[in-house]
Amino acid sequence: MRARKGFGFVEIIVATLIAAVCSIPIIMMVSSSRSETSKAINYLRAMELANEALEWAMIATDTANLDTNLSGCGGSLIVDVGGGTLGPADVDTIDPLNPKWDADGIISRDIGYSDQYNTAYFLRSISVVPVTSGMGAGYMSEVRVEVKWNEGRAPTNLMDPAGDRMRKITLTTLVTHDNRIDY
Amino acid sequence: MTIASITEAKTIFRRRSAFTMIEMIASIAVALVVFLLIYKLLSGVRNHYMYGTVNLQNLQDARLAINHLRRDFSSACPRFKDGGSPANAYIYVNRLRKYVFKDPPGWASQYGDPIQITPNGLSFFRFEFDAGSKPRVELVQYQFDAATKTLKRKYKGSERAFKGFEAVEFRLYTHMVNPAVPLLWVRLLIHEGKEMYGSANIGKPLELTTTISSNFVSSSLNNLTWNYETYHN
Repeated sequence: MRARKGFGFVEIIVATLIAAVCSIPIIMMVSSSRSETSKAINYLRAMELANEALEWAMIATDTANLDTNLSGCGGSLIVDVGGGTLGPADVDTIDPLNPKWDADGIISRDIGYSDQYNTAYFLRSISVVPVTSGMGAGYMSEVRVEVKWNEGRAPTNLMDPAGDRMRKITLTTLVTHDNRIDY
Repeated sequence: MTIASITEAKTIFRRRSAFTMIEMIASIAVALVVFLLIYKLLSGVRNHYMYGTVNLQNLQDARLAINHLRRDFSSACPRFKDGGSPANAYIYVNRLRKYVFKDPPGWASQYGDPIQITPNGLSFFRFEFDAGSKPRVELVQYQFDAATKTLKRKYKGSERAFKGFEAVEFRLYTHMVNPAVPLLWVRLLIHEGKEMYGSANIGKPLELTTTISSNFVSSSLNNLTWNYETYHN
């Protein structure tokens, strides 16, 4: 009779606990793969934001205010769009120099970022430092783009470059000022 | 019949007794709850897995498409036709430079082929870096087909399809850094849920924007006074 007795209450509880403990790593693994994908997506976006700023640098001509022009393009990509509501920032577009492009209607002015960028609180800062020594001295500048962002939480200060963003990438390139080269 | 035999008979009888209705209902209920919990767990894991794989696929599609677009457009240029003589070549190059970009598809100039950008398509020539003495260019075309959710890239007679695109948008803009050189703005909206699992509810659509410039266009427009180019093969 005793040999045919079923499981006791304590045995059931212990078995359930073991099963629960064993399932935790599975759930953790699956959910962490999802959050890792989300991090990878934000990383790709940050890379493209940095690349975008480098593209701006690469079309720049030799102007004395290159630093001002380019550095002014930095800042938070989530801004106050009115009434305290936060929304995606716009790209700093300007009227084209060639009026033919406008006449053909091929230039857009309302260029902006997706709402999906909002949760990462991207912050981009751009600096231009003239090369003062070596081969490029006098006609090259170093352009450094830094993109910081957060994963899953808002920063305490949206605009502070030293703010509490969790992640950061930096891309750097050299820009040649053609007009300064004596051919 | 002895007492011992009666006791043995009772024992045999008790050993053969079936489950009662209450025991059956209770055990079935417990089994159902256990199965439900296991189902919930496995279903949750499966949903997480599908969601994750769709998001990952979206990311890979975006990266692949952006890489192709950047590599192609960074060496984009209008194609200058052969003017037949150095003097004509100079005229052709400078007349086409007045446009560089042109919107209406099929617009052709006697001086060459400008870069054409429509909201859902690109058509331009790309420099081929080979050892030839004359600059050789090849036509590259991108076209978004909303019906099949595919971005198609045509190059040298071959076609490559990037699938799972909900929307693709191409635009030109001029930035405050230099209004003389237009930049290409690209927006991609990718969602592979329907493609992979037959449901648009699985995974989150991925939206990505970026800017791409062409080194050749930039050089050409920034340095009109000295940057002399002849026709392209």
